[in-house]
Amino acid sequence: MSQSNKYPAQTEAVAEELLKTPDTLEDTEPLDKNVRLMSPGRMVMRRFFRSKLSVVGLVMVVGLFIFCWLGPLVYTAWGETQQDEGKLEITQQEVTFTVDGEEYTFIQVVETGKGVNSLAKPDGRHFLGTDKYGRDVFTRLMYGGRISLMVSFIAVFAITLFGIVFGGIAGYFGGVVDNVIMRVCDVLMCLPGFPILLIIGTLLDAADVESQHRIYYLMAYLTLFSWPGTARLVRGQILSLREQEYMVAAEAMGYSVPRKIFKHLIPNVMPQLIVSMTLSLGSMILYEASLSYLNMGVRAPYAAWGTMINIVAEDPNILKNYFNVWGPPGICIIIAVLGFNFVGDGLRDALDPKMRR
Amino acid sequence: MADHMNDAPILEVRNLRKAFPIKKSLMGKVEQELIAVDNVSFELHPGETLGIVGESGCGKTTMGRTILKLHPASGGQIIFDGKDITNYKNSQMRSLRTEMQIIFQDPYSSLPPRATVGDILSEPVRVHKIVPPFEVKNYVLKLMEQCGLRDYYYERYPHEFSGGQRQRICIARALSVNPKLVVCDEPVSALDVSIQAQIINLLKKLQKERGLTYLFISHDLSVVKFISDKIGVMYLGSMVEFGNKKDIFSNPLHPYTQALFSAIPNPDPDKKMERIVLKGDIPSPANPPKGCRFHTRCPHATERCKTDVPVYREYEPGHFAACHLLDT
Repeated sequence: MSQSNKYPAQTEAVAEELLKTPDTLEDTEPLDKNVRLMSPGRMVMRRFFRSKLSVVGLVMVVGLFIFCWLGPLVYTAWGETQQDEGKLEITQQEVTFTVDGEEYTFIQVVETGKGVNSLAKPDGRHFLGTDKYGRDVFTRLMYGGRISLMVSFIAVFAITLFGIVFGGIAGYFGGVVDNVIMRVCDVLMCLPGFPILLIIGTLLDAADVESQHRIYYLMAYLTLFSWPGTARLVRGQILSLREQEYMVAAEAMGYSVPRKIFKHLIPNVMPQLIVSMTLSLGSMILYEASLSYLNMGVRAPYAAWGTMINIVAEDPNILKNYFNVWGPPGICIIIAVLGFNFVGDGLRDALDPKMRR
Repeated sequence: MADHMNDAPILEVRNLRKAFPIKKSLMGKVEQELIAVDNVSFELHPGETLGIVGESGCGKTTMGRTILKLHPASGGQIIFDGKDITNYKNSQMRSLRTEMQIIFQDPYSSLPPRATVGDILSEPVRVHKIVPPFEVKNYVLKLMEQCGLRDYYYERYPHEFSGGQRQRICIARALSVNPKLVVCDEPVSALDVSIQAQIINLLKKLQKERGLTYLFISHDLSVVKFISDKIGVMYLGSMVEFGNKKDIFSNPLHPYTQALFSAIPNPDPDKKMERIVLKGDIPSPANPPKGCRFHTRCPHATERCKTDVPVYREYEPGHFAACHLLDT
């Protein structure tokens, strides 16, 4: 073993080269100080607004929100459950007759009401006419939208919250915890949604729950049975992100587990989550409408879009002759669902750089 | 850096072993395992740089991460700063995290994509309360300056930077908690040669300023030769040779080290290269050869090498090796 000083000469030269290279900043300068690259968020915004369809979707959704929340503040002529009692018609009649040569003149004032102004045609008094009970369709459309949108928003937020917490825990810890949570998800996903909703609806009837509150119970049930989808999505993402080196770096920094999950992993799952949230908003609105249509959700006299359509079930004549009563809420449902889906699709394309066209 | 030699070692690794289970029986009993690191021992003194070299898959990275307790060790002892941290729980390790840090190979995946440089660098400072909250920004800006980052990078995102600058950010992040030991896991192998030189010079400068101890993992011998005080050569999970840089380069004892050094490219075209070409591939660590692990490829292998495991021992002062040929 006497290879004396045979190899060093070679590396020495390379080492000399290394030493000569100065540690300067000048050539590490990528861009001028004034050139500012965009943050990831702004890039997503730009890609989102480049697509016409997603802008249309956004306008539809924002328009509906303004209509439902600001509308009733501006247009205060009618209330949600207020019935139009009809216009009071005051007629004056002069009756003149002669008694004993004397002429008497009576002025007879007659107040006549038409009764409940039901199924009125659209006019200046009721923009979209009135329903069977004389309630202003236009006003009810705004109040109904409030319920429909709010209920689906609450449900989607709850679903996302459950999904993040359980999916995050399952994905981060893995092993037994993951197995238990995922099996619970499997079981929940196996249960049929609508039949159980019908049963719960009947139970709520039996329990005499107030009609405004029924929908919240039903949506709570829907939430309970919809979070597994989101949890799976979060878990899958976290499983792949967990192996990234920046997570090893976070581990080496000794960050606490909640910090690693909620500050380092979840923000990187947010893009996919936002997409799934917007898309499930649409389906939640449909669920709410279906429930109300089946008279299990919001019940008359309170308004929801589904409840307003429900009126055709009572009277085929309305279906045939009074489009102004059931058409507008239907259109609103379509606009809301389409709008949320357009926004969701747009966001998905904007957040996924590989989808760039 | 030789004057640190008499200090107590900052890191002492004794018979470190790390095995990953690859097959488990129904009862959860491990039936087959992959031995990534086997019986590795060395000492590292404050202010020194230990270069670890070896082929891909020889367990360098796993060793580095096991020392930082990012993987639990399967056997042996890790003694950091006089404390045996082998069986420390995560909660006990948390306070030690400020003392030992890591720089990764890939500067692209080792920075979180949705945080600004300022966030990335100030988070560890805040979490470990290195400085009072109102001084964090100044502290980070000063650190960035030391690592060759402009102050206006503070608000920028990692995707705006080139590989070399990202590596500077990674270095700054590792140094933000004032560590004593930094494991550099191939910090320059993903970079251009010109950028490599800058990063290595930066690492050297920071070592001098802060008295850092490096465990420098690399497969690039010229880089290791340039930065290290001591060198450890690994083959298939075990340390085959360990010693001072001078001793190892002037007198490589192990046949594998000799073969490795003969593969260093020579920039001088007039000099003829004598390459020792090893036959075959590195065997699978899931099924390592019996006896000396290198015997399947060793040009000098004897019958004894096929059956007996060579003992890792000191042949010259501070120069360790594991080879039967040295005993005869």
